[in-house]
Amino acid sequence: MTLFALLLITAAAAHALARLLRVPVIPVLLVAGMLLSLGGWMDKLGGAGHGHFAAQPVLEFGLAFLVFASGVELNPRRFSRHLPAVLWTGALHFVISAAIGLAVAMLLGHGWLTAIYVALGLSASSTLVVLRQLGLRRAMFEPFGRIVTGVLLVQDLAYVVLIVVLSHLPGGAASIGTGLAGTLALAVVAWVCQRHLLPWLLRRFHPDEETLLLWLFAVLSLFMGAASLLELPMIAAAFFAGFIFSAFPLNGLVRGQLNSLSQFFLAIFFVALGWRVGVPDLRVLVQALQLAVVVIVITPPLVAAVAEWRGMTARGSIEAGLLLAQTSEYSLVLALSGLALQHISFEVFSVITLTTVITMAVTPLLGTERTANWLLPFHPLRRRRQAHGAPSGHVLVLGFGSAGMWLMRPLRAAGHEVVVVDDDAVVHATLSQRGIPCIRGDGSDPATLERAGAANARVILATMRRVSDALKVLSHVKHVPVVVRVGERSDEQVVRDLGGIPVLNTDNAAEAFMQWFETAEANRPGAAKQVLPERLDRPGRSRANQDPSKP
Amino acid sequence: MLEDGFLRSFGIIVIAAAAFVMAGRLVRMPAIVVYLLAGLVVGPLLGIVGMSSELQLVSETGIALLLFLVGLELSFAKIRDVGRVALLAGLGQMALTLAGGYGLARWLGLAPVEGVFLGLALAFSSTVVVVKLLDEHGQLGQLHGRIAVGILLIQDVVVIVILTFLTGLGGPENLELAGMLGGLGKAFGGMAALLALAMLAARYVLPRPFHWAARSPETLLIWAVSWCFLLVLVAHEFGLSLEVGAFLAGLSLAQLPYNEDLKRRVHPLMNLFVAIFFVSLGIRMDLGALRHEWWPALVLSVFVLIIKPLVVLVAVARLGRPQRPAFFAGLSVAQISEFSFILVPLGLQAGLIGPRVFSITGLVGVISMAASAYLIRYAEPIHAFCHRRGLLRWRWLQPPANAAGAAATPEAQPLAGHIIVIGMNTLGRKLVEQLAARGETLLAIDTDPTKLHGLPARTMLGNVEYLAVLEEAGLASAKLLITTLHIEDTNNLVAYHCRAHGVPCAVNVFDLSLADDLLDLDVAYLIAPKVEGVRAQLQTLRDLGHLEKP
Repeated sequence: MTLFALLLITAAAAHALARLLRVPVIPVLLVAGMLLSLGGWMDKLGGAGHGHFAAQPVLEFGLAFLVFASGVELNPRRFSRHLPAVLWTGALHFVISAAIGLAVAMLLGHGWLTAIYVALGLSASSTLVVLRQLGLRRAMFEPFGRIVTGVLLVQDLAYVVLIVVLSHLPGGAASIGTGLAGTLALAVVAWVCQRHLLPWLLRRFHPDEETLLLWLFAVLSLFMGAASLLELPMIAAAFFAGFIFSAFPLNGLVRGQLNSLSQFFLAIFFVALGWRVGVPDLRVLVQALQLAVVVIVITPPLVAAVAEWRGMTARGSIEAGLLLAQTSEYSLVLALSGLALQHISFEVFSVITLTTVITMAVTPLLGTERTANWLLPFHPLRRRRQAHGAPSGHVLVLGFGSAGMWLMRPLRAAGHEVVVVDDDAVVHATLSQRGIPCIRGDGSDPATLERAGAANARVILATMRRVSDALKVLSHVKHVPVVVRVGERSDEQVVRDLGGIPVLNTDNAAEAFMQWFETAEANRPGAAKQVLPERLDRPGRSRANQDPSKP
Repeated sequence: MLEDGFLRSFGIIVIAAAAFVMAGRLVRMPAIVVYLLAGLVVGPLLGIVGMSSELQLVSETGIALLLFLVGLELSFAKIRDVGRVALLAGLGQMALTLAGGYGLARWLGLAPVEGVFLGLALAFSSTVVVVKLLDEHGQLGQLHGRIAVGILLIQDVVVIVILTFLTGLGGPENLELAGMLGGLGKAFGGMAALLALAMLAARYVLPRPFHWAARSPETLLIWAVSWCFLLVLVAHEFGLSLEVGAFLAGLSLAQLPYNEDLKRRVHPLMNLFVAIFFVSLGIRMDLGALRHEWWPALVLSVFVLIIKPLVVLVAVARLGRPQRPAFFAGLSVAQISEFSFILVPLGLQAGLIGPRVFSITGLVGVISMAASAYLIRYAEPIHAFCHRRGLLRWRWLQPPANAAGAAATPEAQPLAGHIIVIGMNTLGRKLVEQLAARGETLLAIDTDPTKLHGLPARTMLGNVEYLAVLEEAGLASAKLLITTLHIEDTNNLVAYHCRAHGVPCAVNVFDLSLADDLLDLDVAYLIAPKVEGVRAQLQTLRDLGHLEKP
């Protein structure tokens, strides 16, 4: 209990420090754990005098649980539309980083086997960190967010296979074959459970939260048991078990329960890991720094190049690259299992762990919109086509989105020439088909604005996803009225201060809602649940008839 | 790696628990009984899991978190309210049960010392069982729940005294009086110190840092749990039980405005660990004893199940509390405590008692815990039955006439026919204002305490990903739910719960590609700011003079 309490209290202190310094919590937890190892008095407490690491169960179970919990977030439906881009980006990033990692490890003077571990340690990105970051930025459902999620799933899957292969390496080809067959079997079972068994159980039993929690752990334990029978690494089991809960509504139902548990295990896991690693010596630190620099320098351009090649916009690709520039928690798994198999030394284990910590710590600083914007001008392929032939006297629509079509009819009816700038390939194709001039690109990019004749437009409608993009337009374009759609009242004043004309869409949305509400109430006053059966049909259909252009 | 004892036994325990819970649902068996059964099957029956120190640790963690939650639920004010009643009823119940248990033990042919041990083992009720069951039924905060918890805490104090006494007991002959008194002094001093620490911390130390941490739910959770274990450690240093430390930790956080949210966040942790605690209780049972000792076990169980509630009912009612809560408080404590499983082995080690007492206590424990789970679940019908049969008309079961209505604590009125609005962004606030202007009853929910300020509505801090938040918001009796969140998954989940409860809902489709999924979930109205934004933009263009035909 003392040990446990100390881990927790250290974690609490780390949380406070992380908030004070405004840095991500994971590396602070780890460093706190390292400090805990100083003096060795913790080891006495844990009764670890006999070469046995006292918090080992915390490490093993915590890691399995964290992999499990991040598996729940990897719902394949989120990126099904972007599958080709996801597959290409995920695979190429994995292979090329591994190759570069291998070269670097050899250069640093490691042997073959160790070099393979180091290389693989650098090849994937952290599901845990990236999903967290995406959630914080609320970018989970933006196109680049979806692609990043997909890339993580692809890489995790690749990692699971690789860890199976590595752990069966001593047994030769036959052993590897059995291992892979076992993994496939687990995957198939997981798929059947995800698609059929659990949805059925859910309908049949309507479990309460406590029961769901038991299901979670029972499935995790069953898979870990199966993995142990098939002599597979536990992490494969945890990953597939997490996948089982990834479909709606199950993923939503368990998220609340998992949240608390993941936060709890995350805290004690990373403190325990830091304690396990101990305070590194300078040599280890320098090597880890070198590897971290490699990851941070290589990943963004690599991912950005592949993603853009597969049809993403320049900025989306760069943002994806920046977000993925860290090594994975699977690297820790790999390092732990390599240490257990005596494939790598404790020093290499520490190097891989530290690299992971450093890169994870940097991610929240790198993976921001601001960094992406700063990097954008360095993009080598940015078309610097001259603006001759750019339209003028037109209405420029920046960001067409899914609601833009409703703007078209009244604008064209009023005799305006309309030019659209949008980053979505589908929008581009649709508009081109209808003969509406559309420039594919990023509306906040000055070069694109120039091509679209922004300076000579009659009026500009900025309806981009992010208000910050619209603010950039305001700073580039003067003397043309810019109508900016905003969703929060706080943005209204900012837009006005920069000389734009803000349009707050929430007022209208609230008004429309109230109209609906009042009619529904008036139709059947009193009856609580039957009050509102009248269903407003999908905006795509009946709303289209109910043309918003008519006041 | 699964050869490691802990992960293997953990896995087997959760798998067994999950399987038994599903089977138990078919016959509407309370979770506690199911867990005990699961433990009996994987432990004594099949022998695939044994007790280990890690399991012990997990169980203790569960108990600590459970008591922490109890503390969060209550507050110093609520405790003071029932303090005297709990003290007198608790002590009276223990004395009478001890006496009765001693008598029965002698009648069953046990030695006098064994009788004392058995009487003690019967006298205590299980804090964990009671709190878990009351929590499941949402009754912790109600009057009878508070009385029951009060009685249990008084018992915990007595337990500490007895444990101190017993550890000072080297054997039957050598009583170290000085050491024992020192231990007792330390325990009571510690208790006073801890109580003072908790109260002072609650008032002067904790509010500021927790307010600072509140905007990050993760920090809040980790801090709260660490605070809990910190006090557990301190309690341990003073030779106090971890229950007391954890409870005081919870109590000192109960005044903070975030305690509701905190409770929900700690809940999943507690559920997991406590499930393991109950299964491990089952694992520790000795089923072989059933053959020889079923008769005394049955007699003593019936004694526990009838006498304990009766004593508490009489005491609480005679102390001027209404009869109904007195009856429910009595029913709650009708079982023996897991502490008995610590007490009796101590006696066994000291050579004071024979193994018979040990097996009997174990059996009485399982039987009374399982039975009391049913008693608490069916408390209402049992009360109605006793009332109909006139069993409650006896003068001693009535509150004294002069105390009528003295303790009528008003319970919070549940919401009904209200509108729940989730997400206090600009859209959410606007909707709340307009709906409030229409005279609707509103409940506004957000995860950020700062966003809930200055709204013309009832507010609630919480993350709707926890079903408990929606339940506490009275989803089932709401007439409409609105979510203005920009989080696809959460919106879908809320819509899913609304459909399950038959409540219409309006959801923010911040991107029109999300509409299809939501319509599949039978959402009543889609709030589409983007579409409405187009309307506003066109109006602006018209105002600027760009939309007249040339």
